[in-house]
Amino acid sequence: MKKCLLLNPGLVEYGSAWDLQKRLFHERSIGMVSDTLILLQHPPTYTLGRRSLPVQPVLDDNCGNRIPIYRVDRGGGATYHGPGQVVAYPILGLRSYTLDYYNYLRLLEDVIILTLSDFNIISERVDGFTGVWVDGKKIGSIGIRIIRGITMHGLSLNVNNDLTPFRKIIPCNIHGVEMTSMTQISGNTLNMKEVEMSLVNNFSKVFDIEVSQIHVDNEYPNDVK
Amino acid sequence: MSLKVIMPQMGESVAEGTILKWLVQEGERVAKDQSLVEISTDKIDTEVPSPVTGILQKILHSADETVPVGTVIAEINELTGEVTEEVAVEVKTPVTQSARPAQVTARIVEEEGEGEKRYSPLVRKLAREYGVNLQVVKGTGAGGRITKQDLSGYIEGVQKLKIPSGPEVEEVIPLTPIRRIIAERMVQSIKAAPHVTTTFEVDMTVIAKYREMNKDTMQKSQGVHLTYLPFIIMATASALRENPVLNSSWSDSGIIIKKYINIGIAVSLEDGLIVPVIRKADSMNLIELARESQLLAQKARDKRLKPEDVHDSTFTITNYGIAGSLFGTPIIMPPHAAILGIGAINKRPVIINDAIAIRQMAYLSLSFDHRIIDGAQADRFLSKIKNTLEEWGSKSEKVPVTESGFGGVW
Repeated sequence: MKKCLLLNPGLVEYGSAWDLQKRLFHERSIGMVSDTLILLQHPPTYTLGRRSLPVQPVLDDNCGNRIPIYRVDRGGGATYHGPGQVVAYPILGLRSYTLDYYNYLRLLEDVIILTLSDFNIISERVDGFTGVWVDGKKIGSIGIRIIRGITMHGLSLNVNNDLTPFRKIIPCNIHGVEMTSMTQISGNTLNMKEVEMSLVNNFSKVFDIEVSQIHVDNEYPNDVK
Repeated sequence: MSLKVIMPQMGESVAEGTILKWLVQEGERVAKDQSLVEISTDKIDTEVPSPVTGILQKILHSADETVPVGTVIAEINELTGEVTEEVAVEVKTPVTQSARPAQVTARIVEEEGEGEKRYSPLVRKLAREYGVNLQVVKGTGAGGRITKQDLSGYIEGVQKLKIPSGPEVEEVIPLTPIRRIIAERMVQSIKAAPHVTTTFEVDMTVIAKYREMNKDTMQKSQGVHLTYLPFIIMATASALRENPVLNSSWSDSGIIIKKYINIGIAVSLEDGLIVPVIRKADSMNLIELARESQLLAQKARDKRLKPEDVHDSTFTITNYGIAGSLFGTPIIMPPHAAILGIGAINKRPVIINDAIAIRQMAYLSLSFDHRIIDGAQADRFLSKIKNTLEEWGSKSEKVPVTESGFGGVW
């Protein structure tokens, strides 16, 4: 069975997490590290994918918007990250799993769908709209970058996070999309650790991969070797 | 040697990609596996590595252009290293000679372009969406071309100024992915396959009676609502088995006859159309067909279809009769060879044995790819369906009861 390292550093500012991703991506590309799954949360942040619509209200930065905005090198449109949202960045050599880049999107969707079903939430795909949906509302988003078969960026799943910041943007370039979260559906606040564990389990199931966690202090990326 | 760089196929379901940025410029040297260009699709960003070491000779599609998978986007002159100086010198003269007229034509094109500037499709599309006159936008791209960034900047600027625009007489509805896919498939089909449509009139009276007699029992015992559709699917599956050429695909190396009969049923949605598939339709009985077609239609409307629910169909049935249409000339869904359209089933006066009778009539139309199928074959197929439907019960008799409820009808 293939092996995958798990990094679970907690709450990490987007910029340093991005740096970590880029570093691991580079090291994975030259074969210095094995496949790695980064699982974390971000403080409130907007990120714009390369395909974000050109005029997005989030760019209206003179309205006292305190939330930082990053233009990032992934596919997909704009999204919001914040505490209470699980974010997973798999840095994988994709060829061992699939040759079809879009199949990778479907696998990531499966990970989210299975995780939700662990919490008795029935979710689904919507043809033509990558991501995971519950009753017509979007709960999980995906945006990735793949170069020479190595992946970065990944998925986000709304667990307990505030959904209002999504209203300022056009999430994933889908006009009029409504976002939802596990809390909103189940009616109570969920334990983030439990959701993360379920997500890791399902990631290991879907990709048929053995995940082993390596422990690091919060002061990374310096501590990650 | 000149090599073509193409827009890569990133996944089976992806038809196009957008060029984000050229990382190597024309005339520059590029090493094998060095990234040439950044590419983006709706959810994935990637880069295309150079297949060889050489000189990037020509960029054929610039940043912000969206092109279909397989399109040549650049040409690279391979440096083999084995080419000796002598050979290079020898070919030099003819090469430069032929290159000169090419340069001249390129210049002519550019000069012609002065009056009417050329814009990338993406820029044109955005300009249309936001109603921007491109003449007033300053371009910073190669040769003063307007890039997406230029246009976005301009639009943002205008929106900040909040200039009130004139009364709105037009509205642009952004293309949804499903609309785009439908558009592409339809255009692809009508361009590639010479379409011919043939229409038969079918007497559905026997089916109507059979349905009337059995629908309540089936609703109660099986929980399925019996419509006309499963009868037609069944007749079609049987006719496909007898006429395998209708269950095929065109390819340049030959006609691919499919040994499995998977019938796609067109289901209209609020926005667009989707074609879920009934697999091995020829092995199913009436109840199974009724149940399966209902289930798929419901899943389609609830947007619960999985990718596997819409793949691998070999033939399509479209039931526009539901909306009242008498007959149509449907467009074949690629890569199929034909599509059957069902018109509205109405009572009409018809002549039987020189007497006027009131019968339940419907027009069935078959559009077929004339590269594969000749008119006579198509009519044989359609008349087989007609006969099955008109003679329903005479051969099939009552639906035999088996352990699973109902057995096969034929």
